Amino acid sequence: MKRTLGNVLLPSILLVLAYGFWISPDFKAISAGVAIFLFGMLALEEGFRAFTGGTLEQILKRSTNRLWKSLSFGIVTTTIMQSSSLVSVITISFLSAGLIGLSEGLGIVFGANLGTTTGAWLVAGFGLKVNIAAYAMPMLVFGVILIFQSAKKLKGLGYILAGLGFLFLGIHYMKEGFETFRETINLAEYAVSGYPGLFLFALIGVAATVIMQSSHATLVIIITALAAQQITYENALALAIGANIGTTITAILGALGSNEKGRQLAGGHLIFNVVTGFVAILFIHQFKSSVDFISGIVGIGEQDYTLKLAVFHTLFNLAGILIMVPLIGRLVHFLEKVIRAAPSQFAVPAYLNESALAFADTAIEAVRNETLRVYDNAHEIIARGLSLGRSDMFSDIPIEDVIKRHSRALAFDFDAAYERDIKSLYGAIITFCARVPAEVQSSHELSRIRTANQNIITVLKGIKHLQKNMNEYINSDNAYIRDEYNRIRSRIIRVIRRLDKIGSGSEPDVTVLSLDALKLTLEENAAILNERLERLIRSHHISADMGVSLINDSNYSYEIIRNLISVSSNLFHAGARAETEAEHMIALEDHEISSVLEEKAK
Amino acid sequence: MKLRKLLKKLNDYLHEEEKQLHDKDESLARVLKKLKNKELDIQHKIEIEMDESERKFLEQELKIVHSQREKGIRLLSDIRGRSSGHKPEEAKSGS
Repeated sequence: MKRTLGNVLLPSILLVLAYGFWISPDFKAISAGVAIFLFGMLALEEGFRAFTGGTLEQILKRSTNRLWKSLSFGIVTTTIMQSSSLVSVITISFLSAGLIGLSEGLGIVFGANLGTTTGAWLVAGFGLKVNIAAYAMPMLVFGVILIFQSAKKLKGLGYILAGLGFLFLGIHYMKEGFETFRETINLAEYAVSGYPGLFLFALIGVAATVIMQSSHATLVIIITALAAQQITYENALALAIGANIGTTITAILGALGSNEKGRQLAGGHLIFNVVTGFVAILFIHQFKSSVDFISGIVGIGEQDYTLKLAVFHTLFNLAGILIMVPLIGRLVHFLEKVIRAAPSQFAVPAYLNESALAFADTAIEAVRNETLRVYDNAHEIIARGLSLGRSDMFSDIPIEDVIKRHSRALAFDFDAAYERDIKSLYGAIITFCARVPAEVQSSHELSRIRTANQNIITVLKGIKHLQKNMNEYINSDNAYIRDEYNRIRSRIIRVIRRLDKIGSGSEPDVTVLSLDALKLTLEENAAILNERLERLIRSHHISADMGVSLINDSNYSYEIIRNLISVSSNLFHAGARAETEAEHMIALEDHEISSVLEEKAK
Repeated sequence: MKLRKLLKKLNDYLHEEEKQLHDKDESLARVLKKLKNKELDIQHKIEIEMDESERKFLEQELKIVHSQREKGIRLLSDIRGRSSGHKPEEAKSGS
């Protein structure tokens, strides 16, 4: 259901966007801006990932390990960068890369809210405007040059610079796109007095900042409108509050491309700004009096609304910090509860737990059961890798019919399936084996299971190698090469079916020994194949290239089969342990099987 | 009764290697018995099998089982040769 929805949703979104681009160039610019911005976020995260586990992590840990430190970090960096949005998106990428925790991230974002108010002071007090966006283009150029370097750190730095460049470029395009809307904002039309007016203007402030992507730009409009007496002083304050909430849109946009940690931080940022905004609106009169009081002390003139706005901005953000900091623990708890991580895509061990480690037998049994799971998952990959359905592979349908039914190559992402279903379990098994008591580690049983795991991995590697040519040649017009590759497929299926029968106990009960007959078939088939292959090349039915591929892939197929037999030999056990040992003693060695083959030939 | 059990345990402890050989002997003999049954079973299957390729496969399997039995008997005689309580000729009982 979810898949069908996804299949329909994506083309629909693309169609709607394409139609939008066709009818509105502004919409195109805005969408391109969002896309570039998100790409910048990805690049930034990639860049910070290069520094994980090293210096940057240590610096960040040291400068954010206490709440006051993370707050100060936010204040200082935002004052330097003059953009709280930028600091929040960088913090989101820190968090997504696992460099810092959520509470440290929230501390930085809270601090950034206070740090951003220094912008108002700079603009109002000194007419100074730090425009870091001017560095965007050089950042992109330097960033891309560094990305091409082979050194990991330089590459990482390149991604960070390019990421910042793309962020600014994205914001620039978004602003360009919204430029037309800017002229339509006439604040005088909305003049309403009292609390409804405050809420309305706060909402206008949110909308204006979302549209212009800059709370500074909104502040400039507010000051102009106030000077022209289009709005009251109270409404101007409400607009400033709205601008403060609206600025979180950048962080929310940034979190779109991030993991759950980034989204939790963006959520925290929004909650902080909304709560602060509400408090500021509710106590607007008290704030107003406080602003007047402070202005009086520091010598700001009665009519100097620009500086008074700066005071107000600082004051209510400070109030927000005072309110929210004691609640930071609860906020973290709430955010982690509401915004959860998507369920893990990777297979999780089902048997390897602490209690299984307590006894030798339970430890071995846990490893065996987990290995059987890996083997089961591997069957799925083998079937798909051979362009088959798993159920058909294990069915009683004649193999020729199964091959006919699946005569075309299937699109199958081997690496993704391996990562998802095998790698994590195999890793867990290795870790678990290293933790079992020393006397268990040296036991025959555990070493056999360990070998079985290695066999499974070798089988899968073989399937991966085989898949490339097999997919090409089973679709080939040349019937000879197609038949040869289908023979390889049949051979593997035949062995898997036989092993399944032996393993499920539907064969007479000397499981380990039953595998020797399969080994003999394998040796015999190898000899027959070599003869046939030579004939095919000599008669020009297949090209030399095809011949080389076939030889290599046949070897892979024998490697696969040999290891499949070995997995079974190492994982199967007779009812009693002593009997399994006896069966392993009697099992024929490779040279003994070869001599049976020679005897047969005579 | 308890004393007899205790003495058996003491005896096992003092003759651990012998006990191990005895266990191996027992399990090998059991597997050999199973293999003998399997050999008979395959022989019977070959007689009634109509499909040529399947019969070939069964014949191969028969050869393998036969070689396994030979190897098993050899191992069993070795063990019985080493074990002081048994004589090598007894190994024939497994075949």
